[in-house]
This record gives sequence, C-alpha cells and structure tokens, in this order.
Amino acid sequence: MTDRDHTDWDDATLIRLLDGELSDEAAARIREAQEADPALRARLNELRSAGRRFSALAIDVPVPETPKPRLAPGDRAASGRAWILRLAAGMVLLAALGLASPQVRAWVVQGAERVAALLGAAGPPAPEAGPEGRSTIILSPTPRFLVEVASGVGGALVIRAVEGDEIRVTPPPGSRPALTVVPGGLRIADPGIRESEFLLELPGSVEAVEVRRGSGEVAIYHPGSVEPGTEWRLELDPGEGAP
Amino acid sequence: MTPDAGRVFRELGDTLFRYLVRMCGSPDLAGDVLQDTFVRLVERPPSRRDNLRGWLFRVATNRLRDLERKRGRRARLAQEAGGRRTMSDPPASPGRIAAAREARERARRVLDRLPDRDRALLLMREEGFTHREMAEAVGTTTGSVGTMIARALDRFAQELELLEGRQG
Repeated sequence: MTDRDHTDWDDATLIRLLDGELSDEAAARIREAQEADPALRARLNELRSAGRRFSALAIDVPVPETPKPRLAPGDRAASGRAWILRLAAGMVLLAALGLASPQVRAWVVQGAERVAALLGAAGPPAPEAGPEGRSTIILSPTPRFLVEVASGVGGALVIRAVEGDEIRVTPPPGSRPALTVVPGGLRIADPGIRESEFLLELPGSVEAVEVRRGSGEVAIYHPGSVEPGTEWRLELDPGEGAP
Repeated sequence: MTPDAGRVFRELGDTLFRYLVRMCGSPDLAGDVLQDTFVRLVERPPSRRDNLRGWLFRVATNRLRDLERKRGRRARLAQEAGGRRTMSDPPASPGRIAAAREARERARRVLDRLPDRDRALLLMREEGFTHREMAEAVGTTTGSVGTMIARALDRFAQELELLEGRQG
C-alpha cells in the first residue's frame, strides 16, 4: 500500500472518482492533480489494480443459471386469493341449493328467529292478531315439524290443519316468553301455564308434526293427509313427566 | 408472480443471484435466499421504491446472513466443495479442469477471508451499484461508502498477497 501522507486526496474521493460518482469538475481537478502528485497517482493505481484483481477473481466463482422461483410470490398470494374465491363460490352455491329446499329455508328462518328471541329482540317473527285477539307467531313450513313440550306445562295443545303456506302458533295470552323457536320446530317451556290453550295451525305442506312431551311420550299427526280444518286436541297434564 | 415482482425479477434476478453465489459460494443457498427475497418483496414491499435495488440487496444480504448462521457456513462449504459443474464450465481436459478448480478455490478462499461487509460492498460494486445503493444495502451513509470500499480493496489485496505468498 502506498504512503498516503503525501497526498491531500482522501480514499473516499478517489473511489468516487473511479466509480464515476464525482462531478465532471471534481474529476478534472483530480486528474490535473495527478501530474504533480506521485502519491496520488500511485494510490489511484493501487485502488484501480485491486479492483481489477477483484473483478478477475469474482469471475472465477462459478455461477449456475438463475433458478426460477419455485413458487412465485405472486402465485402464492394469487393461489390464496383463488382458494378463498373458490370457497366463497362453493358456499354461495351450497346456500343457493340449500335455500331452494323448503326445509333448509325454514330452518334458516327459524334459526334467525331463535337467535333474535335469545337476544331479546322484539320476537320472532312479528306477532299478528290471532284468535280472540291473541298474538300469533308465523313460521315457514317444514315437511316435518317438531313440538317439544316441557314437563310442567299444563292446558292443551290444539293442532289444526289449515290452508295456506305458513305455520301459525298462537300461545295463550301472556305465555309468549314460554315459546322458543328451534330449528324445525318449537319448544314450549313455561311451567307457569296450567289451563290455557296453545293453537298450532299447520298447512298441508307439513307432512308430519311430532309432539314430544316431557314424559317422553311422542304423538305424531299428519296435517298434509287431512282436510283443512281438521283439529287434534292434546291435553297437557302439568304433572306429567315432572321430575 | 405479480407483474411488478415479475418485472423486478427479470431485471434484477440474475444480478442478485450472481451476487449471492459469490457471497456465499453455494448456489443452493443463494437460490433459497433469492426466493425468500422475492417473497418478501411481494408480501412486505418497501414503502419507497426509489432505491429498490439497494433494498433488495439489503434484504438478501441479511437473509443470507441469517441462513448461513443457521446452517453453519463452514459445514456447508465443506459439503459442497468440488461439487457442481456450471453451464459455463469448459468441456473436460484434465489440465483445464485442474486450472479452473484451482482458480475457483483461490477465489473462494480469498472471498471467504474478507469480512461480510467488505465482500458485499466489493461484489455490489462489481455489479455496478451506485454508492447510494450500496449505502442502502449495507446500512451506512453514501459518504462513507467510498472509504469502506477503499478499505475493503486494501484488505482484499493483502489477503491475495498472503495467499499467493503461501502458494508461491
């Protein structure tokens, strides 16, 4: 290495000169200075020579062909997006197919009603004026409808075959909180009800209604097989099935 | 690959891969780092694009350092020594093969003896980087790059002299 005490030019400037990073003016000044400054000339040659030797050596390192990315980054993101899109499309298709089925449609509607009921919303669905001024709950029909009557519920359950395409449930006055809409059915669970009457009106599209009582007794009726207006009356004994 | 990353890869992929192979001596490791670097470009690109080459080489250099640490550089080099032929290898003649191998080994030895930062700077300089790009890549100021390169060249010259003295 050259003794650099004999030149005023620092290495950073010389490297910038060699790398073309100096302005034309500054580069010209150094070139002029070389004539009168042997140390500068030597140092420049030294740096230039080391650079050339490094280049020659670097070329000796064998470099194979550049590999293509195995999974291109964009493809990874794109495949993720495609997967999500496929999943979404599948869900839409399933939902569409499912909603085409009355059973699934009713289940969805009733599920929503149940959630609303659990959340303390106004109630599933909006009650209408029923017989004798009582409120009526309207549900979408399902081929098979289940009514669960908890132990302790008294009074009667009247099942009536009707025309139309909706299920109508009319509880006794003041018993609305006793009703819970569940997927594919209804649960009656107010032990405070003793004498009143629940009215369940079912269209012909409901092939069967299954009533399960707290005692374990099951009764099945077929509104779709009888004339509209046909009624079944099921007396509920509050003592039945009580623990 | 996204159009943008694809364009960057076409423009800089070869340069970056060559740099990485020369940095570490392992085409396999260099390929992994290249891959990771472009994944990073897509997933977490730089907020500024005005010095993309500097950013890309910095990410690649850091990743290379991480992987080398994990894999154990010396063990890897020992394993790969005398290994692969490249596309540019000349067809066999025993004398030429021996000369080429000797040149490769010498180059590798000298490069390996340089500190990481020196090696990175000199190799980036070989690729025609500006001082600003090198500053971004090694994490320093543009004004310091010239001094660092000069020192790196001095170290390189010393290592080469030492090696040649030993061999001579």
